[in-house]
Amino acid sequence: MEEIKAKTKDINYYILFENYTHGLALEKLLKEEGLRARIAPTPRSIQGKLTCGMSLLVLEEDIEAVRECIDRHQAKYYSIVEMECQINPNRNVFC
Amino acid sequence: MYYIGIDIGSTSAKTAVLDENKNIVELFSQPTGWSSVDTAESIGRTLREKGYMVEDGGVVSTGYGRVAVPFSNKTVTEITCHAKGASLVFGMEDLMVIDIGGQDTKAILVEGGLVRDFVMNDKCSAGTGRFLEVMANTLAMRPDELCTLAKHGGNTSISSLCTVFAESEVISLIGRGEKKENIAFGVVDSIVRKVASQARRLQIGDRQVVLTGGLCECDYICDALSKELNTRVITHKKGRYAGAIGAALSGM
Amino acid sequence: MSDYVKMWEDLGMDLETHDALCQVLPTAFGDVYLSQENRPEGMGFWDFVVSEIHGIRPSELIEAQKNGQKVFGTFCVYVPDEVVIAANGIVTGLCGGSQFWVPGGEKVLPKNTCPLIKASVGARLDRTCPFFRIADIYVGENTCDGKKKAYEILAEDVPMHIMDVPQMKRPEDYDRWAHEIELFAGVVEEQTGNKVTPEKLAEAIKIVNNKRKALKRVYDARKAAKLPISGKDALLMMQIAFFDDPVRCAEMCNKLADELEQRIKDGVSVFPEGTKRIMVTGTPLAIPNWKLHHIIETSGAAVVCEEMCTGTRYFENLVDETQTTLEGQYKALADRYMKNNCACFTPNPGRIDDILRLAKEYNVDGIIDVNLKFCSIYDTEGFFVERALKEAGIPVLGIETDYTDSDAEQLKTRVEAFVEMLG
Repeated sequence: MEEIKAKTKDINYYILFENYTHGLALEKLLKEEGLRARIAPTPRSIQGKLTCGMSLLVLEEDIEAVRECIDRHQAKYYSIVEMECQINPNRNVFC
Repeated sequence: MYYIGIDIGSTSAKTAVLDENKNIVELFSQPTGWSSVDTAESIGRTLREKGYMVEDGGVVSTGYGRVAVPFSNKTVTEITCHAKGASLVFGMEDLMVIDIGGQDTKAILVEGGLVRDFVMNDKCSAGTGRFLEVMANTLAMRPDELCTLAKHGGNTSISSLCTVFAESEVISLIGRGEKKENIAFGVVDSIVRKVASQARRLQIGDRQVVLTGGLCECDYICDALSKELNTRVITHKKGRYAGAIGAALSGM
Repeated sequence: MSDYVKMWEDLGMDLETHDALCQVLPTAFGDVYLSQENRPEGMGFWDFVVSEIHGIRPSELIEAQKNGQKVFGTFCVYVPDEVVIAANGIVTGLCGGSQFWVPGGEKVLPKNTCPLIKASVGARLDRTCPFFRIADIYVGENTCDGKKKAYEILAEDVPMHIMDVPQMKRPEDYDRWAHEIELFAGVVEEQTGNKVTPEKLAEAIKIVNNKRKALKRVYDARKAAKLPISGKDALLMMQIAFFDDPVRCAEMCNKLADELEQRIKDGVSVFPEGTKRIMVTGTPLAIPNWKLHHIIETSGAAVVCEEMCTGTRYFENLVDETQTTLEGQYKALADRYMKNNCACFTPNPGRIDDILRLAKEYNVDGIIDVNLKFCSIYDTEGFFVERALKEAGIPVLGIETDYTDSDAEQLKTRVEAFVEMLG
């Protein structure tokens, strides 16, 4: 059985929000424009004092288009954090 | 074309090289140590020195360190590998393989050279090589010495299955002045009973039972297991390489 | 958009300990869920719920309580939600699926108690789960000895009603269960101050039936040769169904099912062709217990069905909607719930029939019988399950595990070997 290799996409972008209303609004907007973004729980290392647990996970290849879309619509968000991909399906550490 | 199988177990790492006619052309082993990655690299060096170019493909890894081999083309579990390897080593396609490993013990029902069913111990180390190692340590002996000595003992039983409790049982036996060979007997007896109860969960029927893995070089374990299972358990001097041989076969 | 920290504080939660759970969840969810490729769009809803897991639904429940509604916390698929809904109450599941809560339970429970009970007791006593704080009353049931006694311990801390689930399936047991439901309706009326009327109950029966139908649609999509959804995603939907509003749950599941049905038409799959199809059977997988599904789906196989309380037992069989009297409705409810084949019944041949039937329906290659450590009823019943499957020529692997990570590597070896054995 071949092992599933860890994701090769090295850089992920997380769009953080002050509240999920902003988050869901942007998610809807991006979807309408055909841009990829997935709802993800905000990694604690970048959450800071924000209480909003949801963020939008955007891949490196999509981030420019997403930024452009946000600017064009003046969409509300808190910040965009660049971070090395932490996702590892072979870690086998659960909660 | 050569096929290479690497079995990185918890205590030792075994390597087998087979040619395309399934002839075993090379077997060697070494202690796993604390780093599977280092062990894998050292195996890679040895293979290159012997003239086998691991980069050319045909390398299959197995065992708990199977994912640590950087030049492996494929990983296969030790259960499948022991079944295949034992079939080749013992020259039969229908058999029951008992593999007492360092950390896991498996009983594998093999039909037509393929795994039909298997059982494996859970987290608990009772009935594994680890149990033997811990007890041998307590008795200040090597595991193989303990096995040999056990033949001369008797009349002692260790009732705890848990390695930690069993160790204190052994310590109190030492304290009581019990003869070393009797304690050794108790230790081996405990392993054999645990392994046999696991094996009996499968339908052994009239299949030949074979012992592979690190403990198969100890005749006494084979004898004791035969007695407990009420059927002749055989072994082979290449038995401890069954996993590696099976891995090499899986690459074909 | 409320301040959850303030809400948790008001609920009397232990914020510091709770924070430890909040820290591990995003990482585990990322590894298990976000690592998957080509997931259905519809899963966004559940991803959202998880990212706000202790915030969004709890704040809804608190809002409802402010408007006079009561929240009933339940632990078992035998407790009829319909009765609570008929009295304008709200049901929330309370099962703990994380090792995080286990040490809290171990303070008061024997070591050889199953992790689900330990986690559930720990979540309450350690004040680390908002749902356990919010519920006005817990509804327990005597489906095993461990739970029975644990409820006595919980009852010292929170109001508790116990339903006496029959342990056999003779005609008189059906009558007795109908009577238990009637007694429960009395408790619900007292708690909520609302009458359970035939009209209200009929409406509630429809609501829950619709939720069952929606869940079933998603499961039916998993019967397709090209799997449109992973087992992990289906499990997440199922786990959250226990906590969500039943109408919204049905709506979201139906939306997901629409997408999955389209995927089947378009031949879109989340697994390569030839991936081995596994059904899991046994004890429930309460949220966030994703361990086994993740191990299976990273070992070259896919989970296509769960014959579990967090699975088919939750939605199979509908309640008869034609009854117009309370007596007839209680009887109809009893008939539907008694069709659930839990190992607490003796004998329990219906479960074997279910497993064999589902194996055909979902076209499975192999079955994993998974039981929580120290669940003696399911563990013992495993003897019959595994024997029946062997007789039917369906490969089966028995596994006993808990919520810890420590056996993950060994489980992976066993599951991989099982998948290799399937050919």
